[in-house]
Amino acid sequence: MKNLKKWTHEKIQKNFGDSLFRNGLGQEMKEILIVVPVYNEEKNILKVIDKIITNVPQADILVVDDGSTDRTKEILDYHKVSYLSHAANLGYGSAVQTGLKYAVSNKYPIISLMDGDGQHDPKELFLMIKKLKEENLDLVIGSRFITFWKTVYPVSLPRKLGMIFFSLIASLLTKIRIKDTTSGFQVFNLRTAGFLQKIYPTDFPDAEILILLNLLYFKTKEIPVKMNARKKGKSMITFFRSLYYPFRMFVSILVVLIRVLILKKQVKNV
Amino acid sequence: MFELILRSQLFLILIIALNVALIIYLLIKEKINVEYSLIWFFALIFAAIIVVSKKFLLFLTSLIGAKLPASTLAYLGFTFIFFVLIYFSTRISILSNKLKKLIQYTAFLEKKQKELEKRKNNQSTPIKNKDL
Repeated sequence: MKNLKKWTHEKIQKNFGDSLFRNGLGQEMKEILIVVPVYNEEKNILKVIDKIITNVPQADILVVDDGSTDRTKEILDYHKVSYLSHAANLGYGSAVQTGLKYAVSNKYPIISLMDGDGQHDPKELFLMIKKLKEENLDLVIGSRFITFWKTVYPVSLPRKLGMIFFSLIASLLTKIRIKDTTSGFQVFNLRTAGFLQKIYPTDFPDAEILILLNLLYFKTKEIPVKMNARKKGKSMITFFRSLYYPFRMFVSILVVLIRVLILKKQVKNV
Repeated sequence: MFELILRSQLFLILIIALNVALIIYLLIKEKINVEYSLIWFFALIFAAIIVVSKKFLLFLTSLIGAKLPASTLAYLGFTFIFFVLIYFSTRISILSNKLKKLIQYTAFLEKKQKELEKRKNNQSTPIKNKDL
């Protein structure tokens, strides 16, 4: 792990020497950016980075440290991992938004989101990116669900019921089958990132974002992917969050629908 | 009956006076902005008018259909608090968004600064004989 930077550089040179481009500072950049939002993930982060480098060497990695109070930032610094660090904890959504802003300002054509707790398997990214490119999609969601009941990832029953309920609402409103509305494993293009960076919610993005994207004609597809259960550290989903979740979702979906109606009216009038 | 009303009037006026004093104190100590203190001053002036002018209070009582003037005071108090809470919720939301933007901006600046320092260090590395 001490020679992570050297190892990364060698891999880049070996595999993707030609697909590099440069940013405003004249640094070499690649076609794909993997954004990894983290909060207090000192036990998982290096393994996650290691796995990404091994499996997706053609990607740049950006860790967004959301004001961690443990040694996460120190570890990132020591191993020379590219990161952005929030001075205070803002929430998962804001960390993702920071990553999206970075991706957009550096004009990465493909952007991926992966959680920093090791739940997402980077090997699955190949299929997701392939789908995005081949089918000319705007967003590909890595789903825990194969059917509404059959899941590749352990989820508690109350949570599963909530997810199914809001998935059904999202599917009804968008006329697209979306089974996993809370998945943080996503791949999208620059156009989608450009849109999302402006409207991303501060806390937890959910079905409302997928509904908004679909109603505004962003092409979305969901594919089942393998996900691992969290091994170390704490999940961001707390008891209070699970209580407040349904109310928040109802209000968010309502606001999204009104927003879309207003937007469509404005477009018609122009 | 009249005595009781007078006593409650005096009590309410005392509370209003204490509140005015508290806001002036907070202003002097710069713990409240003039902008926000005005909301409280206007509210307290309005409360004082209601408490002092019995006719106005009775008019308001008949207007809202309350039986007792005390109910009118409670009703107006709740309404005021409700609107003030909504106003402050919007202020907090606006401030949270501004803070979020600021924190994101500093994160970008920090990264840029590190990258520039790295470049500077690389450029200022003296050329050794063997490199020539």
